[in-house]
Amino acid sequence: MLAGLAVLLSNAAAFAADAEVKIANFTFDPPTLTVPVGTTVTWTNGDDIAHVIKETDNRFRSGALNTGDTFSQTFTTAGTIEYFCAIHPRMTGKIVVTP
Amino acid sequence: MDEGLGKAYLARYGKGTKGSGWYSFDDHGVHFIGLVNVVDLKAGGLGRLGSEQLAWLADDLKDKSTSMPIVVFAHIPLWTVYADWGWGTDGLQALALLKRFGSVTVLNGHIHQIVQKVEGNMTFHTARSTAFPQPAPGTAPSPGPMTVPAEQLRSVLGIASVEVRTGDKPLAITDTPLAG
Ligand SMILES: [Cu+2]
Repeated sequence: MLAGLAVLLSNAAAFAADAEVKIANFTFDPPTLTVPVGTTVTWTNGDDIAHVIKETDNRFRSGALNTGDTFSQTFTTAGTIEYFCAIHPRMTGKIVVTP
Repeated sequence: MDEGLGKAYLARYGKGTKGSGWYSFDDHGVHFIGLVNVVDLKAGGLGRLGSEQLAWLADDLKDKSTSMPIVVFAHIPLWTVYADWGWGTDGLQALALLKRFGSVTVLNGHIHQIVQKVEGNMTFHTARSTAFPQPAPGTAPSPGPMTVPAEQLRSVLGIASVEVRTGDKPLAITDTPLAG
């Protein structure tokens, strides 16, 4: 019974919780987000102006996100992903994916 | 927003332009140059012209007389207004190419407020926006839209226009004939 529970728990841990990055005031919040492998990260644009999320080497790119729009990406391998806003390149952020 | 990196926009408004939309033309003896510094921006960076556009600009200017007035326009300021907010262009080569001309006027937008600067024979102007005002460089945590009381809004929005105005004052040097 206890062993079964432990298995259930470790399975639950493998399904990482989803995480969020808010865009407000031309800033990614949090600027660095650390998540376990398998996490789906969702960006939500809270600004009155469009932003575009682009991975530094263009491995992913959101469309234009208007106010309230969201963009999600699931990270299946460990590593550090750097991204920025393709319209306002001073806006930068990082996702650290841990094994 | 155009997800084809400007293709639909250029098909409509940019017929005959080069690359991502740059072009030039002459009118009334003035050489006008439209540059594009908002395409393929890099993380953490400023506006960007790119090597292809810079090569085109060098070629475009190479046969022009230094006495020909030049007007350049581009979205992001071509000189650095405030690097921390990305308000400038990785474009020193462009400015270097323009230095030899006697009269260069650079018109920019992007920062939604008026900033002017004179450097040698180059005059830089930015313009207000009709969309929303933005804070003066460094006066806010971010360059995001600035909220002002509704009754003040129209005083911080605006358009820029250029017109010829005949002055009503004599020039400092006056020539007078000895007789007649
Ligand atoms: Cu943006």
